[in-house]
Amino acid sequence: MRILIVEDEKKTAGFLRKGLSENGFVVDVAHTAEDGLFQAHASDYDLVILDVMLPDKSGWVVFEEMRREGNKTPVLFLTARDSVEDRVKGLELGADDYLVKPFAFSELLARVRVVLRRPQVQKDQTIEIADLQIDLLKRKVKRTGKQIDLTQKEFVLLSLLAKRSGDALSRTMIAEQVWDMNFDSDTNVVDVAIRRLRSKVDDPFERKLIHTVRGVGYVLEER
Amino acid sequence: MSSKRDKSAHLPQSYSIVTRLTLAFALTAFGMLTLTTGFLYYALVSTLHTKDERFLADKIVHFRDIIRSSNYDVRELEQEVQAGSSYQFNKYVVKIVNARGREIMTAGTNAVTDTLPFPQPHEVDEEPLQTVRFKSASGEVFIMMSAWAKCRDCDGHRVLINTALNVTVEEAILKQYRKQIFLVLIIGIFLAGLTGMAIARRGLSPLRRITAVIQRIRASQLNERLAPATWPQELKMLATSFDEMLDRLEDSFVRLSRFSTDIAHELRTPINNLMGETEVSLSKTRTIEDYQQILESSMEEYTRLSHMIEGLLFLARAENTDIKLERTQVDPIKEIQDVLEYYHALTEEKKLHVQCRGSGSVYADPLLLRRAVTNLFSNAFRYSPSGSSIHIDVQENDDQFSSILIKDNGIGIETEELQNIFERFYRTPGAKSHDTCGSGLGLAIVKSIMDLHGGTIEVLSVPKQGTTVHLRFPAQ
Repeated sequence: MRILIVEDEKKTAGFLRKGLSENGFVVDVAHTAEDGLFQAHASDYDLVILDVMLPDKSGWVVFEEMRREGNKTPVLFLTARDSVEDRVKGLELGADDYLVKPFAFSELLARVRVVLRRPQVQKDQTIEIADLQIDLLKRKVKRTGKQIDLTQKEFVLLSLLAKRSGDALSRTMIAEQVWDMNFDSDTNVVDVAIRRLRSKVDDPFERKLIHTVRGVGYVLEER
Repeated sequence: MSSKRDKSAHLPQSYSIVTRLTLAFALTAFGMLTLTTGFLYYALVSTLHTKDERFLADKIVHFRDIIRSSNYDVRELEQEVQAGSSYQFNKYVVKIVNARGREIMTAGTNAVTDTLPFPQPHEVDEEPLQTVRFKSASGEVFIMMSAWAKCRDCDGHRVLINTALNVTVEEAILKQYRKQIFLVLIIGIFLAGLTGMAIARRGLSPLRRITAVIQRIRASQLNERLAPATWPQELKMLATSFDEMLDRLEDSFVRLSRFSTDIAHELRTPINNLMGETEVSLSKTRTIEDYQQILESSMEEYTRLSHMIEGLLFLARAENTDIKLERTQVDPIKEIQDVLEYYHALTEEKKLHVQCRGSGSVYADPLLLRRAVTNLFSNAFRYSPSGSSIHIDVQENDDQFSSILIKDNGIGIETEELQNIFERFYRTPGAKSHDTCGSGLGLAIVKSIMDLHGGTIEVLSVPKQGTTVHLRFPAQ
């Protein structure tokens, strides 16, 4: 999967390149709108991450020119200015997604995967990670064949981690996805919920599946 | 608005008040002087005319008497004419003709009698009341009166008495008088205008002084006041309103500058932490665990900064009413239950007893309602001792508004702190000592959410006993 990043701020471009490369993407960076347009034209990308405020041209213009050339590569906008008009404009132009700075990298990664339509949800009704089995339809969880009783929210939390197994999920994102808290709220709620989930899913077993990613959040994976 | 302007203004709005008043004074003076002098002139003219007419009528009566007595003498008639010719400054003439039109006598000081077009009376006994005016080619003005007189010895037994009075001098005097009136009018208007201007200028001088005072006021001297007591009655209102406006401005100005200072301070702490930690850690080679710990600590600070920015942006937008409300009838119980569910694990650990009662619906933006409730519950949760209880009540009071009450038995707020709790970054000393993770923006955000909805927020608190927050949403 090839991604082009058009971003004039060198540090932003740097950590995006690093993070995306480490997650298995092939990343190119352009620092001006002109370079970005040229590269988007010259090679074939699966996704363009486009900063709205570029020194020579606005991201909107770059986007329009790309589309005029017949380039249908999906575009994800990044912006520091988060006004209602900007959002509307991005959507009107047909942007594939829109992220406001500052954003968590895990958030960006999730959005990138959505745009690239990389299957995140297993089509099967069950997810199996190591000896953990989750039946999404029957809402049943088993480990080493033993049934584990979870509350409704605990189940939603566990399935979210399992569906995105391997990705570190931030507390904010978990609060949003599980409890629909779309604004900054006390995220230590998430820590408590994870602790309770661990006490049921991990504590009785030797092999731990839910790991803390320091400073970032949580990940469920086989280590 | 433009139609209103059209209606109210005969003069363009830019004309000064002095000009308007001057014009008004001049017009009033013109009207009054015209009326007065016009009336005086009319009275004079009518008096003169009546006198002249009466004079001629008297003469005719005299001549009739003389002619009626059988043996009248032409000389007697001439004497009569002479007797009257000195009447004031006018001169009069008499021409008597017989029934066939032949002249019997012409007397008087004026020789133009032949050219005068005397009126022609019909009846012998007709009253000689009709006067006719005539202006001769030489510019002399006459009034004329004619009447038949009975005469036994004459042809046809009657003679025609034609009298004329030369009123040229009288006319000249009247003309002079008219000129003077005109002059008086002009001078009067001019003087009235000048007086008007002087009065207006003087009358408006407080306005100029008040302007001068207002012009002195700068952002740095918002403490300047107009002192309403020293101004005339009409300007007192303006001065009072202006002072009130200055009060409000000064207040928001002070708050704004305190706010900027606060932001700077609030930014200073996390940035100082970041700089310090990074600098210290870079000064030596450390283990991977150390680096991880430093990065984790940095991440915490970043998150705090990011939340702060988000909160400030929200407040700024709410203040500019830049937030589009998507209001619907929301079931507050459901929203509250969701929030409580989010906090469920925490409240359980803290052994808090949370109760939500009541029913009703609220006309609000669901996301903002949830945010307000979350912020308030977060406070209630944070400042409640373990084992205490939090009550949430929903009430739909008549058709006017719906209420949400959140009551805790927490640390409470001192009465003198209550007025400040909605200020950004304001944290009561109690809250500061209690924990350090609050941003000080929560209540400010709730307040702005309530403002956006046109609702109110009321906080009642007893220190060490608890706080009750009362949200009131107006009905649709």
